[in-house]
Amino acid sequence: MASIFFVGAASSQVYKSTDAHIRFVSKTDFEEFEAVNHQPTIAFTNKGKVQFRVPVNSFEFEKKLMQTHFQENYMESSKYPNADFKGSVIEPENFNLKEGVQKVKVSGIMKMHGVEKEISATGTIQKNKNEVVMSGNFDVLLSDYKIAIPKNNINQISNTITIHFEAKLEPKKAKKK
Amino acid sequence: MKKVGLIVLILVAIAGITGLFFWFQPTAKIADGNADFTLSIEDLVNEGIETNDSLFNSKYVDKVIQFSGDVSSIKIDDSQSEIKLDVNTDETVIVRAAFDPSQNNDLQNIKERDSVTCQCKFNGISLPDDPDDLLSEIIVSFSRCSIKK
Repeated sequence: MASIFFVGAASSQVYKSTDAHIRFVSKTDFEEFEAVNHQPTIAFTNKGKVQFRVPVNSFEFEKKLMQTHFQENYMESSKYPNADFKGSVIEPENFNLKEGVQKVKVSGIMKMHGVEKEISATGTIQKNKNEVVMSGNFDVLLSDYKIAIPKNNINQISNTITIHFEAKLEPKKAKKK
Repeated sequence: MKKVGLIVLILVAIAGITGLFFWFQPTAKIADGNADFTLSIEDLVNEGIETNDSLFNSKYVDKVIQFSGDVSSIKIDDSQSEIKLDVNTDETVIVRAAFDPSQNNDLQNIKERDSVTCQCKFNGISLPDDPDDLLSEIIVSFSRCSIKK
C-alpha cells in the first residue's frame, strides 16, 4: 500500500499560481479598451491539467462607467461572480512538464455568465527548476456566453474579446497540520 | 426666440459636459466611505458556504466590507499589491486582499503574522465544484483595499 501511494503521489505534481494576470482587449474600428485582473487563481499539473478561477469583479477598467456597465449589465457579476476554466494540454500529446520552454495548446470548458463552452488556447509553458511560467491567449465571443451588447454600443464593444494570461506558479505546498 | 435658443444651447452644453464628466470619471482606487458590512472573515466564509449562492452574492458582492485578520503573506508591487490572510475555519480558505499601488506606503510596515483591519470591495467567494478539483480551496477575493488604523 505504501509503494502504491508513493507512485501515485510522484506521478502528478500540482503547481499553484503565486502571481497571475489576465487582460482582455476589445477592439473595434471606433474604440479599443482593455481591463486587467490581478486575482486569477491557477493550478496546473506536470501532466498538463489546468484550472483557472477568476473573480469577475477584480477586472479593473480605467473608466468608472465602463467598470459599472461591465459588472452590472454585461457580466451580471452579482449572479455570476466567477469565471472558470478546466482543461488540459492537448498538444503535444502525452504532455509531460520538463525544463525549458514548451509550446502548448490547451483545451477545456470555460464557464462564464452561467454558460459553459469548450475553448482552446495556445501559449507557452516554461519550467525553470521549481518555478513554472505560463502565458498565452485566446478569443471568446461574448454572444457565446449570452452577453448582449446593446445596439448603442455596437461600435464601441467588440463581440470578439482577446484574452491574454500570464502566471508564475510554484509547487503546491502540503497542508499545515 | 433668441433667448430660448440660447437657453437650450446652455442646457445642451451642461448636459454634454456632465455626460463627459461621467464618461471620463476614473475608477476608484480604494473602497472608501462607510463600510456596508463589518464582520469577521470567518463569518463571511461560513455564510458563503451555508447560504444559497445568489442570496449571498446579491448581499455581499461589490459591497464595501471591513474585516480583520492575521497576515499570512504580503506582496508589494508597482502594479498591484496583495495581502493574504489566515482564516480559522475547518476548510482551507485563501483570502486575497488587493491594494492599488497608491496604498504601498501603508503596506511597507506590515509583516507576516501582523493583525490588520482592511476595508475593501468584496469580489466574491469561490467554492470548489468538485472535491477532485485542482483548486480545492475556498478563495475569497477583495480589491480596492485600504488599511484601517
